Amino acid sequence: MSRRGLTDAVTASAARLFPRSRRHDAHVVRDVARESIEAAGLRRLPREAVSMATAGLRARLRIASAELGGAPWGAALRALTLPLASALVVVWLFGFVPRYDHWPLGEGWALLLGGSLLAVAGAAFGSRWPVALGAAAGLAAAVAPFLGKGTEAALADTPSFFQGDGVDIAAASLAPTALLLVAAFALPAWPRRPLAAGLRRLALALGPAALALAVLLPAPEPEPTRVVTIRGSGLEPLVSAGPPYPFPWIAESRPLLAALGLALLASVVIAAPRARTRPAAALATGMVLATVAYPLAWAALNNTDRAPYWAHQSLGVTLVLSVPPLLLALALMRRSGRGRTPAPPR
Amino acid sequence: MELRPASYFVLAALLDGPLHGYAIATRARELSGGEVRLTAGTLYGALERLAGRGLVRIEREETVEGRLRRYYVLTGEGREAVVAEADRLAAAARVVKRRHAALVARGAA
Repeated sequence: MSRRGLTDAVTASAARLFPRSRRHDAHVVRDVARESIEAAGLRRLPREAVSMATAGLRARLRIASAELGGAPWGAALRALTLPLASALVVVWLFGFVPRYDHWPLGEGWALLLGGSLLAVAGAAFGSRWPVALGAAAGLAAAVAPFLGKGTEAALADTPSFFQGDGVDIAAASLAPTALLLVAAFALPAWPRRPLAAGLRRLALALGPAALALAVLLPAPEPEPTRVVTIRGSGLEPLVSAGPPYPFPWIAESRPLLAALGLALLASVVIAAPRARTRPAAALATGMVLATVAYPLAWAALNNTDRAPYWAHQSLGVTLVLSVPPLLLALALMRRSGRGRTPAPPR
Repeated sequence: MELRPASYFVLAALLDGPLHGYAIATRARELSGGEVRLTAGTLYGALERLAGRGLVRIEREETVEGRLRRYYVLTGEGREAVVAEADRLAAAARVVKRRHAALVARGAA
């Protein structure tokens, strides 16, 4: 390859790192670099190529920041409160018992189901404080296993994030509940919706939970609790049947996780093409997707021997699981801001 | 408003009239005594910043021997900014020179 050919090839490749909207700028910069290399010799090529690539990436970053900054964050946060709170109620209905049977009884229900129901009611009427309180309760429950609370063993000894062959959907709700808490503050402090409209939204939001209950109930017959009494050294422990567990024993449901994943996928498919005309919906979908990307991807791959038990056990798989949905979420967020960002000056 | 050395010499290069990118880089290197060596990417960043602050603007574009050249020109604000920066640097230099001269005079006496 000739000297000129090499220069042209390298500078053309570096120019491709500029965003499409700055392609014309890229050509100008590329031609400055070519003149400089022609005058100073090929030793100048690496420096010019790196400089062009850096400028291109910076331009991308600036545009992405402007798009994200211009996205309708407040409207999107307000829009996501009701569907997210509604999904959390369904999740808690399905996932409460298998993980939290050792929690103090009233406390567990109050935090998880009570909190998410309060959040749904607040979101239905568009009122900040019930959503904030409900989300904070859910967040406290989700944080607890990470802090070694609500578990019988230390965090290091217990599968606190993902529970063996199932997702600990309570612990995995850490990011969504945090998002709901943030979203609460985008709502007005006091309800502004008429009572009838609020009640209609409440009924709509509780629909999935009612459907879930209809599918789940009647719950399996409660089995007696096994009570093991340690009687001291040299004596066999005494095993006896205690009273059955007093709350409904509802096993974690893979169909539920699949349904939630499909619902989210449908939201993405519907929201993405309409991102410019309805940016808040696309941005809200992107935010929710970002918060549940890893648990959902993990659940999808579970039992295929490819998913790690702990996220840190296989960084590669963790990245493969989480990066594509996160990129998809980022793309949605950028798309929602793109329509509102003015074109770069020429 | 304080200017970075690269921005200062880019504006200084444009005092003579409109220049295209490579000519700006060459002139800035000459004016700075070889101190400021701008690559195409850093020059682009500097010109974009200066254009964003209203100190330079694009005058025209033309293609010469198959190469796209964009000419930049100083705005009134740009001219004021580079002259103000030159005054600031000169004033700062005067302070040091005056004190140094006084010290030298005291030492000689």
